[in-house]
Amino acid sequence: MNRFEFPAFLKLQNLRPWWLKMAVLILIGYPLISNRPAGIIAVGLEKLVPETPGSVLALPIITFFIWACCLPSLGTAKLLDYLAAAYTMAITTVVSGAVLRGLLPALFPADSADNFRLLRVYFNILAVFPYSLTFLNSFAVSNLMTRLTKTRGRFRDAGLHLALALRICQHVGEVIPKLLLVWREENPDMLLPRCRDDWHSISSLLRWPVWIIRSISQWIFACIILTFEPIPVMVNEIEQIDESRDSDAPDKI
Amino acid sequence: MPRIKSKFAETAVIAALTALTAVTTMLVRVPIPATNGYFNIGDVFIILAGLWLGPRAGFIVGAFGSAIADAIGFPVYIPATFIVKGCEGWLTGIIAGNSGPVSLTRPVVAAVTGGLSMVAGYYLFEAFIYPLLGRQIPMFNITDPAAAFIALLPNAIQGLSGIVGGLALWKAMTAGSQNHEISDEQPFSGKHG
Repeated sequence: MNRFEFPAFLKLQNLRPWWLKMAVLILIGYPLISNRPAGIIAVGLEKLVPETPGSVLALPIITFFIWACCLPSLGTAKLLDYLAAAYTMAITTVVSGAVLRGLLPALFPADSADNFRLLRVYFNILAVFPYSLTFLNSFAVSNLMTRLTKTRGRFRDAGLHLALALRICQHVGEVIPKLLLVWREENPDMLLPRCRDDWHSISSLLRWPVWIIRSISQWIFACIILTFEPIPVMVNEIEQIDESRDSDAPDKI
Repeated sequence: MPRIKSKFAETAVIAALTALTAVTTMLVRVPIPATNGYFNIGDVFIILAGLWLGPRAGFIVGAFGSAIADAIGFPVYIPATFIVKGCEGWLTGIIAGNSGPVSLTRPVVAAVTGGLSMVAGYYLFEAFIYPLLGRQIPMFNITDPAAAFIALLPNAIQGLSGIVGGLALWKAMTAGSQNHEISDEQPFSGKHG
């Protein structure tokens, strides 16, 4: 993979102090939690080019803006990895939503704004997925833990638990895209199993659904195991840091 | 390029991608009143097919998947869609050639060219070909150059969304697969052979 390095000042994780980084990240994510920026873009577009469906186009424009902000911090390869997961999730959600709406009209009554809503869900997923992972990975948990262990007070334990939760979320973001490579070892052709001597005939059409369900369940298992596996190690690390802080404290000597 | 060597599997994947293109184009369509067309999210699979399976598959997925979707609700656009979306997949596949996931430059150029061809193609049809056809066949008299200009931005945004999605899914599909090609001629035997 070609490695194009973005300048360091564009990477959000290099922003200091931490509150400025937090403020910039919240500002980037603001269009995702408020309708105001989308409304302003829509009005602007409709003024610029009359008859343009501004409200529809504002959603992808906001998504592209968030991708552009995440790109220097994540790099092209990592952003594409995250987007692959985001696109899979978004397409699955939107298609299943539209199908359910057709199958169960009593539960999901259709109206003219339905397609717009589905499109909004689609672009929201595409924007939120890489943004949230960029947000989580922008903060160094080790620094946070070191600071927290040096402090005293009632918020110390809560802060340590929060740091642990943040580290686990970072770990999940790092591990899950890489799990695809592990999964491919068993299923190298993505849609076909590795051991398939007898998959030439029409019977393969009958076996394929069984195989696809098995391979998806393997994927979920791998995700669960590799996500939860490091938690005890991380808890142990925090305990050790905590203990060493206690033993170094002047009142203990 | 880490493509599927088994003819049976390739045919199945092309069929699946064609169906996915048709479904995603059909299920989420937001009308653009100026051109009587619509905004959709089906380009992801056209770019993916071109990058992953080559120009022939790209053409089949683009032309047939999108034309099937147009047949339900927007039949007047079938000729334009068949040619434009077919060319989008074909061009992507032609330019991507045998590039694997080692380098992103060529696939990016291929996907961007495919997306641009879609925008240019629809503009050509909506601004010139359909108004010209409309003089003989009233059914095609639905657009004009001004309306085609309005549709440029939605088409460009739709194309960009498809380019990024196609590239991301292609990278995920082909990552680490150079050593795992399987053909009908030399099937693997045994677990983790």
